[in-house]
Amino acid sequence: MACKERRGAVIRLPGFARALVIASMTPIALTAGCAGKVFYLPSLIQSGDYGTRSEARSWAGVEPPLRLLWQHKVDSYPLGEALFAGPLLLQLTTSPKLHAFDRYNGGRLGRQGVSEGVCAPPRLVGSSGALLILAEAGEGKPILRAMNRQTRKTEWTFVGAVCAPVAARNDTVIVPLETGGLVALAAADGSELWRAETVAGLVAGPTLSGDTVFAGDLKGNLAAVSLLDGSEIWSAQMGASVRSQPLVDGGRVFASTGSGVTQAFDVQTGEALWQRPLGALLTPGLALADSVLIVGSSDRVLYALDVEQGGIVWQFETRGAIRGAPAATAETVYTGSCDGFVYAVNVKTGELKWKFRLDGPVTQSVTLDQRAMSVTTDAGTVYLFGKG
Amino acid sequence: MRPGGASLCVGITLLSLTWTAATDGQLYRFGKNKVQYEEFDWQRMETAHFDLYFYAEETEFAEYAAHMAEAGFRKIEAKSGHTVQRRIPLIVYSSHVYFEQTNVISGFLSEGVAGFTEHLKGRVALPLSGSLPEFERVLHHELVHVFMFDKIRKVLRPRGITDFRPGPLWFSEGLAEHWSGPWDSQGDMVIRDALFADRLVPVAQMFRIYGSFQMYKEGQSICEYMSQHYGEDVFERLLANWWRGETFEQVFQATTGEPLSKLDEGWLYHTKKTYLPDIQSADPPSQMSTLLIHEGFNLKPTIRVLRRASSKAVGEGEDSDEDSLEVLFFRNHRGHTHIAGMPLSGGEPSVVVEGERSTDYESLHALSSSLDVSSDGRRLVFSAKRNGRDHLYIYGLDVSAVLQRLTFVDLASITSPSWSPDAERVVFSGADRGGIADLYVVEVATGELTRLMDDLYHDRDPDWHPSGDRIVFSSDRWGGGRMGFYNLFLYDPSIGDITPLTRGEHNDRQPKWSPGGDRVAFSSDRGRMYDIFALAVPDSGLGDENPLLQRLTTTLTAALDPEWLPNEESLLFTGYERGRFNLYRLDLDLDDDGGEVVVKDAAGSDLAFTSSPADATEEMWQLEALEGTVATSGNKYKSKLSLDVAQSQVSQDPIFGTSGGIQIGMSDVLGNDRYYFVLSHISGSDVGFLNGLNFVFGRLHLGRQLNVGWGVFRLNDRFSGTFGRSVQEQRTGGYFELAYPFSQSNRLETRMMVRRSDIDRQFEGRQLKAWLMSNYISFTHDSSFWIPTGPLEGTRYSFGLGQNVDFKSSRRFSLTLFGDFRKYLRLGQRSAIAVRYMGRHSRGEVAEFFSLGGSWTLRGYPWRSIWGSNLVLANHELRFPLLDRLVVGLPFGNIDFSAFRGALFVDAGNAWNDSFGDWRGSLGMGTRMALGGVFVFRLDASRRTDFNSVGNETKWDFFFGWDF
Repeated sequence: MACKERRGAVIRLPGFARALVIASMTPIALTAGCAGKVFYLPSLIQSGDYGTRSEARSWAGVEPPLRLLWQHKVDSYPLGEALFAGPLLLQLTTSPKLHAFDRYNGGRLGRQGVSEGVCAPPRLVGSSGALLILAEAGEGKPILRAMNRQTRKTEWTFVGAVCAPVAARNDTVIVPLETGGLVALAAADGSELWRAETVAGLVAGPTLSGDTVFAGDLKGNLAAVSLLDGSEIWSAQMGASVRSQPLVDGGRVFASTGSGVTQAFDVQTGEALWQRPLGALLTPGLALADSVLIVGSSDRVLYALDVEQGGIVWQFETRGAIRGAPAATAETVYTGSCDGFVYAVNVKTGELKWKFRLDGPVTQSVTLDQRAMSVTTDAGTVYLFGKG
Repeated sequence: MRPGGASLCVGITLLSLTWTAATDGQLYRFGKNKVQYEEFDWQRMETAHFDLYFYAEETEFAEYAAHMAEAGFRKIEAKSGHTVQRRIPLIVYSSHVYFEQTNVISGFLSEGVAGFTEHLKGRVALPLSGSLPEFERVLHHELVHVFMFDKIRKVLRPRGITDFRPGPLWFSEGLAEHWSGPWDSQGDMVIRDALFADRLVPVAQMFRIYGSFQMYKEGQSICEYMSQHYGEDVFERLLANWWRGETFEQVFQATTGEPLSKLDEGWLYHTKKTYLPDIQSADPPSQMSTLLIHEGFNLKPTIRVLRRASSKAVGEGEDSDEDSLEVLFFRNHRGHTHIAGMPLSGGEPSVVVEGERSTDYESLHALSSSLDVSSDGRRLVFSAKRNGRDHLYIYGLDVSAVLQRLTFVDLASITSPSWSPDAERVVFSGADRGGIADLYVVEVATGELTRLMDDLYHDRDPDWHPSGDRIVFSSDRWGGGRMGFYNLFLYDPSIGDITPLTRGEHNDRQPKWSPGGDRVAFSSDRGRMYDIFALAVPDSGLGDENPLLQRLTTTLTAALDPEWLPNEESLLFTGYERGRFNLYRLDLDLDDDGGEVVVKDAAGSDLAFTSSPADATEEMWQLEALEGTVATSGNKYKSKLSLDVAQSQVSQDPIFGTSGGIQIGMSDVLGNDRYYFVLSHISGSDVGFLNGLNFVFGRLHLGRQLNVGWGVFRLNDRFSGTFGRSVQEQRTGGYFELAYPFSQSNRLETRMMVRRSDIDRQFEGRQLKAWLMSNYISFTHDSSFWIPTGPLEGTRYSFGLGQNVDFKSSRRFSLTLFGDFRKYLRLGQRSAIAVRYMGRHSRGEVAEFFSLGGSWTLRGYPWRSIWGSNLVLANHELRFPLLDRLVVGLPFGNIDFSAFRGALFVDAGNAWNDSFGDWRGSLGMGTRMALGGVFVFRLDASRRTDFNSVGNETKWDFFFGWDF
């Protein structure tokens, strides 16, 4: 096929990877032709939960120094972080459009307009992450839309969702409700599996861990409900609106409030373990690595807290507000900042390992997997970094 | 005050003036002047996020300001979760009198305006008013506006929402107050007063107090409640959701899941719960003291002991002390602040010094300054702004005239003067040109000035001890001063020592020695509200023992500015009640052994008086200057233009055809240098492309007292002035104009224009071609006081002459004389008699023609129906109120009609060429309704008269525009 591809900065890959590229290019050629849009490819590599941040994870992969693999301009500010969907990278913008890129060669695969009311970072659910979940706040009630990435058609909608990211695992989608509470939907058809009325409105999105769903609401309630039937397991009060998506690690669940306090609870009982006031506005997501909890703050500081006691192990100061959730490997924490840099910091010591100047401030979360790290700036540029 | 789109107004005004200058139709215009009394040597400093503009005299202050700005940026960034990416122009002034001269916005700035942010170019401008911590707070307040509107733009634009939605003013101002500093006793004062006076306005009706100080404080209180109830991050979430609704109510609902009415209910309930219990232990000023005056705003009392006119013995029952006492104070009950006097025993206040109506007393600083009468009762000292700086006035009360006006070239502002006991010296708080405020003493006879201290602390409210051996004053020169807390200090003039008198994280202000000199009364919020306290101060000094501190008032709102009566059995003070400041008299009940110390803190615990540390200098605070990215020298200001306004328009007229054009206005960051460009085309059926092309390019420089403008133009259009006959003229040329404002009220203007003209005077059937030189000169005075429908008080007049000469053929086209006099005699609070007398005369080969007729000139006659090269007009009108406000509630919102007013009038005039003929007149009545700005609807019903009889037919004039 002699299709003209639009590429960013393309890097030559070693032989094995090149074979993968060729293999992945074939479906592109077969599926898209010369002028089509591609938002879906069957994944040749298992990539877990498609970057949904539902659970804490320490990656064993990409450590700095990194090098820039490619960069691409999109049309507007990003809405949510980039999503890794197998060989694809998806980025939603506020214009609003969905952009798709080939992760390996930086090829631009498609751009599609979506509803003007889209209001939350998208999530991938279903088999191979084939469904893209979009939360929309239109003129009527907010709705959730499941778009088939392959056909780009709406598979189902759900009325009454709130503008917050969903949590998903395989065939189940956990949706926060505008009126407060959670509902579990079948990913295939959007049918309701159960409904839990235990919490008020959410802003940060729920988290899945094992058979438990964790969610915090605007009234400060942090609740654990059963993934099987939505029954409440426990509920704890955090004293202020829950601002971050809860993060679960072993026997603890962590979350931050709108008053700048990060707290830890026992994952089984909800017993409060510790709390650490940090002040300012904390990031909507947390990261975990090597027994430290990483929290970003609008006061320009990245904090590392001891997971046992909540003490500050180290702090790293940038020159701009940290708005997006950090991401961590076993040794490194990555974060973007409104000062226009992406930083890699030693997770044990808080020392700077690597940084890269971008073309604008970063207000979204960093996306990370074993091979690559992606960050999108408010200047509308998607960056993909890989091992240097 | 954060006028949205202020630069847009600049642009439109600019272009209209330019067009006027080019068209030569407007002989004069009224309006007050913004005078550049000082020409500053502007500099520029770059920090990480700011371009800071300052002048040479305030370099030290500018370095502190730079540090405060960056610290404020970081603070607001953390609170808002947003980073402003563009550079922020920050213009700082070392004094409010200089700030009032700014050209960043065209409007006038009152003393109550502490700073502003204009959103078209994102400029922030504010002055230092003595206190550096207060400057910092105002700076942070303005930065909140910068961040908020930057965030809103960033949220709206990517979603294709082009109409900027600023949200309700109470929210933007309330959030700015909430994020710039903690809730304080001033906020308590306003909210408690509003609550107990049944004047607290709910969110749904906030339009009723739009723009008022109460709105600011209610907004702040509501934001405090929102923070507690919804979490401090609710504001960040609101701004992030700004796109989700066209109204604030919709955005609020989308963010919190609750309707705005729930916020209203919750805040009202919370406010009542917080403050209602206070009534058990406190009273409003009117319940615990005697109100002295019932009307207007009255504050800052000072007692004058009158000398008795004769040695007549005091009669039985006559209170000699009371009869010989007069109280002088600042008063405003009709829109102007003046100094009033009133017998203490009762009576109506009379005007002592008329303020804000003449150049001498442009401002009396009623809020920030005070008055004092000499011990012999003969001289009053006060400060007033005149010609761009403050002066110290010594006023003879016996002769009702100014005895001396003391001017200090190195001082920009003067406040709170106080006589020495021997009436030979005056101590006052003065701010130098660099903005630093210290105490000064002037020898009245010689004018010799002595500076008592020279440091960055704000020293204010001095008062001389009756013995003359020390001065008490209020200052932030201690550790807590960095947070803006003022305590009391003693100054020993003989050795120059400063000794702390009080200490604590509260504000102690306006100290006044008792006549006996053993006590100091002062206003303090140490007990949560501003109340009057009396502190016993022995001659020997405070020593190691805690002196006796007595609380004299326990108000619900505020008691300020204590003033002892000579017998020390009573004192006067300024109280705040029902949204006004007023004067009260408090009779004291002090035991010889003193009263109990009853000072309580907010929790109800006793506040022990704390002795001051022996060495106050240990606690002095310092400010940091910014390090790192600052370029502090060598950055002379360079005028760099940026866009003010750019707009285009196409119109179609059945007579004049299609027209369209663009207009662009540009100015520099200080607003001193303005350029404009207009390009348009009049596409009539008989006009070719080139013939119909019009352009104007001009420049106006406002950076000096003499304003200079010039421009070039090429125009082909119909021209007529306000009173001129329209002619089709093609003109190409240039103009040059000068305007010299002598003061805010007076200016001289002159304009010269040279042009090649092809004139089609259709109305007289001739065409002319000429090389014309036009010269005009006029003098204009405007001291009018306005309400929404037009002037209500004061005087306006303008007179001048102009001529047009064909210099190629040496023909005089026309010589024109004009005069326009208007006087407004105030009858009451909102009523006045207005008169206008106007005359115009033009002669020459091509004399100008003037017209009468219509709502703006001679009512009862059709618009511009009477013509002539001579004109006289006399209007007499009685203006009175009908309705102050009418709000019509509709499903989509409220329509607010303010200032519904009425008028009765008699008009007379004529326009003629050779023979005057008879007077044409009309008499009638009318109504006006102000919708905002120039949109004042006018409806007049009149009948014509020749002043011998009155016609039977009623003529109706419906138009718009301000009263004359």
